[in-house]
Amino acid sequence: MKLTIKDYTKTIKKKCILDNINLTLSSGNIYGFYGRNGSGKTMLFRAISTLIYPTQGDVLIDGNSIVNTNYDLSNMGILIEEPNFYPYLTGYENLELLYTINNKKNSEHINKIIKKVGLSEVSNKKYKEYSLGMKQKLRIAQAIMEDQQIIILDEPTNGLDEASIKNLHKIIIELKKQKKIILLASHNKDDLNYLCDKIFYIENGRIVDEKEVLRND
Amino acid sequence: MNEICEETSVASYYAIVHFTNNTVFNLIWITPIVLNILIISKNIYFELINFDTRYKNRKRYFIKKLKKNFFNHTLMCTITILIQWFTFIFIFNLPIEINFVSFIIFIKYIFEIYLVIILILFLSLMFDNYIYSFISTVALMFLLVATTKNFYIPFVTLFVDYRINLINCLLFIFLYLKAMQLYKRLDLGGVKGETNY
Repeated sequence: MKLTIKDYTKTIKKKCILDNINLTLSSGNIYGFYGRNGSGKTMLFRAISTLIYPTQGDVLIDGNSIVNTNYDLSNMGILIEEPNFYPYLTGYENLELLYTINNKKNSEHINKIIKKVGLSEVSNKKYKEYSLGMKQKLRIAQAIMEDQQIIILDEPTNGLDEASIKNLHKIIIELKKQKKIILLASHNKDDLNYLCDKIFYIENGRIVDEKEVLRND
Repeated sequence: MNEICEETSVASYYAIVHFTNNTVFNLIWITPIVLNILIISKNIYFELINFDTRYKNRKRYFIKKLKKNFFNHTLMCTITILIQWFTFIFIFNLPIEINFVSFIIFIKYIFEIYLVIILILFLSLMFDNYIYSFISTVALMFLLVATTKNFYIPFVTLFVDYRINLINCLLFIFLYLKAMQLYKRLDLGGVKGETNY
C-alpha cells in the first residue's frame, strides 16, 4: 500500500496552515513527524484523515484520490484528538460499541486488544473512572483494534508512564512487522529516533527537513 | 374558539396551532416549539461537526445522527402535543378526541418542525455558524406566522391547514440531501479557533 500526499496546501481564513506538502509513504514503515506545538503536525494528520479538505493538492491511496470521494476511513486507525468515549460505559463496552458500529462482533479480539494495551485489570471499570494514562491506552486500543492498514498516532505517549511507553513501542514495532503504514507525531526525539524509519521535521506547516534513520535490524 | 371547534378533529388541530392576538399566550404556546427546535438542531449540528473518525464514513455518520435526533424530536413533539391537547380538554373544555385526522395533525406537526430543524442545519453548515442560523430562521418563521397565512410556506403551513403539504415534503428531501452534500465537504475534526460556533 502507498499513501501519497501531493502538493497539499490548506489555507484557513487567509492563513496557510499546510504549505505544499509532498510525501510518499509505503507499507512496513514508521514515519515520524517532529515539530513544535502549532507547527502543523496535527493538521497534516487531519488532512490525511480527510477531516479537512485541501485548498490545493490531494491525498491518494494506491493512486486513488481519497479527497474527492466519500472515502470510507475503514482502513485507517486514527488517534488525533480525544475520541468521544461514553463515560458511563466500561473500557470494554466502549470498544465493543465501536466494533458494532461497523457491524462487527468479536469479544475475544477486543479482550486481546485490551490485554495488548495493558488495560486488562481495569477493562470493567467505567471510562469516567479511568486515569489519564488509562484513557490514553483506550484511545490507542480504538486506533489499532480493527486491523487497519494505516495507523495515525498523534502524541500517543501523552499521559503514559515509562512501562506503558515501552509497551507502546512494542505494539508499534509489531504493527510495522504486519506491513502497516504508521504515522507518528511526537515531541520526544528519542521516541522517534528509536521507532521511526524516517523523520520529517515540520515548521509553520512546511516540511523543512527529513532524515532517514539507519538501523541494524 | 368553541365555534371554530365544532368538529373534534378541528379542535385537535387548533389546540396545537393555537395562535391568537394575545402575545403572551402565543409566546407560552410557542415556547415548547422553540425549545424543541433549539435542542434538536443544536444537538445535530454539534454532533456533526465533532465527527467521530471511528464511524469511518461521514455519510453514514450523518444519517445515523439525523435518525437518532429524529427519534428524540418525535418524543419531544409527542409530549408537547399531549400537553397541549390535555390543556385544551381540561382548561377550555374543548371536545378533543384522538382519531385519524389527529394522527395526520401529529405527523404534520413533527414533520414541519423537523423541516425547520433541517433548514437551520443546512444554513449552519453553509455559513459555519449555528447561532446566527438558528436565530434568523426562527425569527423569520414566527414573523411569517404572524404576518401571513400561506399554505405553501414551510412551518407557516402548520398554522393554516392540517393537510400534508407535498411541496414541503420535496423541500425536506432537497434540504436533507443538500445538507449531507455540504457536510461531506466540510472541514471537521476540531479546526479549533477557526470555526465559528
